[in-house]
Amino acid sequence: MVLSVGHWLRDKGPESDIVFSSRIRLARNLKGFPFSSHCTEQQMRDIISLTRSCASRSSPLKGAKFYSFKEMSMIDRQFLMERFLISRDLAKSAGEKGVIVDAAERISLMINEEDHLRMQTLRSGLLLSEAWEELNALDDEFDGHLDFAFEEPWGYLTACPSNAGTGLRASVMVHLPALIMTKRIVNILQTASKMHIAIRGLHGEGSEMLGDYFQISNQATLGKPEDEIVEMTETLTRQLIDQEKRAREDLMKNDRIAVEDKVGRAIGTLTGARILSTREAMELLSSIRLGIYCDMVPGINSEILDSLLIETQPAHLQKRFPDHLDPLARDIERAKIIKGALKYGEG
Amino acid sequence: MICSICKDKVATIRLKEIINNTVTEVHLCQACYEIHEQKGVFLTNELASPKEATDSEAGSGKQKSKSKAKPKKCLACGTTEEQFRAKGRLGCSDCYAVFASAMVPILSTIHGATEHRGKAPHHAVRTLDLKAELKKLQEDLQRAILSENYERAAKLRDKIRQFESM
Ligand SMILES: [Zn+2]
Ligand SMILES: [Zn+2]
Repeated sequence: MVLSVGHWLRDKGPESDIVFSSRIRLARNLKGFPFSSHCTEQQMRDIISLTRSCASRSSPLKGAKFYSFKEMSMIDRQFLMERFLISRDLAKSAGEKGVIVDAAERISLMINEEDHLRMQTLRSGLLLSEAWEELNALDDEFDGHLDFAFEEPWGYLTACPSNAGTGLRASVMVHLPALIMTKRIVNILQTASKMHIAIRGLHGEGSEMLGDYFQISNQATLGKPEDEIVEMTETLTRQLIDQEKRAREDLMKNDRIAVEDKVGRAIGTLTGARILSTREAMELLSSIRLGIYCDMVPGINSEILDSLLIETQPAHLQKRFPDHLDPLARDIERAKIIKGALKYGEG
Repeated sequence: MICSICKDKVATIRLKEIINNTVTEVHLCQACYEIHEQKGVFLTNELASPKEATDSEAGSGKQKSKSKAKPKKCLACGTTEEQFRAKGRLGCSDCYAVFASAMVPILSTIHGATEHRGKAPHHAVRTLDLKAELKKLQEDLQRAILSENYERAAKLRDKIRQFESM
């Protein structure tokens, strides 16, 4: 595994000022096996080899790697999660599970998560339809080799009824600092819940909201065709982008001093601090990201910031060092890295 | 920290939610979190009347299992209806048919729908196509009857019969 962020993040997609990433996920189970929670170790091994053999024949997955969780450490699993390649749930436990990841880290296939297969495509910026097209083709390809559990009227069968039907989750990670500063986020969240759209923290279900990042995703997976679900999520995201942009403009017009103060304090802390927790770092990096958009931070671009967002997460920091770091040592390293990156940017 | 909803179990999950126009941090136990996740709604209502929400849910669950003679169980994987209700997870594909009556209200709460529309794997495409075709024929038949085109209606009726005998 390499430490620098995946290729997908470096290819800046549309609206990447506000949209960090777009992701589509499909949940699939294989016919003839119980769901993962009821599988024997042997059945789980069978599912892994079936999936791997399919993947080896797939051209989009040429050069992809398989990581088995059997002998993988917690840190390595968390590392994959921090890169958005596996879910929090999958990161939690070892066993006959694993993930197939392509070289650009744009495609990942989680095996023996709650469902046998969780296939996902990841893109920088707002590229949900493209991500769906890519995953749809991969799903068709796999469908040619595997029999997926499917029954009318339910559609694709999943271990949790909340994923049944299409098994599709379209999610977009957005950075909405101005909507939070202006408190306009409240009305937006209310509208979203009416549209069966969930808004969560950085790593989805159960994760905290940190650094003004939100994950927007469809709640309903059943009853609408895939492209409609994707379109609906994209439409809501576009509305959010417009509203965030308007909020940024309004802030710059009416409250510039407050934004300058926030950004200035963030720079001061990040370039002076010796100990930084993940939470504090993310909150401050978020302010700087807003500052970049408002032309208040010359010399630093949002790419540096987006990389820092991933590379200063706990498991990423740990992977830089051969010995185990205690939390304080990690917080010290985090402060060093951020300080270095921001100085480099200024120069 | 104690769970913000049931005020009983230890909270293991921390969420930020918008409640009464302010960002509030709520602490949930695993059980309450799962209920919350399944409903896919914000916590506003539950927090407003915490006891009520959980009590009524537990109550209705009890009533249902009482009124049924035999609790359902999936023969393929051994999952019981009780386990399904407690965990919200199914054990295998067969569970869907076994717990169908419990499933429908759950699906309509989560998705606002109970029937899949969308793609299907290769082995299911045929039945889906046929189903769509049949639906179209039935609609055509209605139209033919409304426009008093009885000759066409008779033909369509024959076709539908053919379909249904397949
Ligand atoms: Zn609780
Ligand atoms: Zn079952």
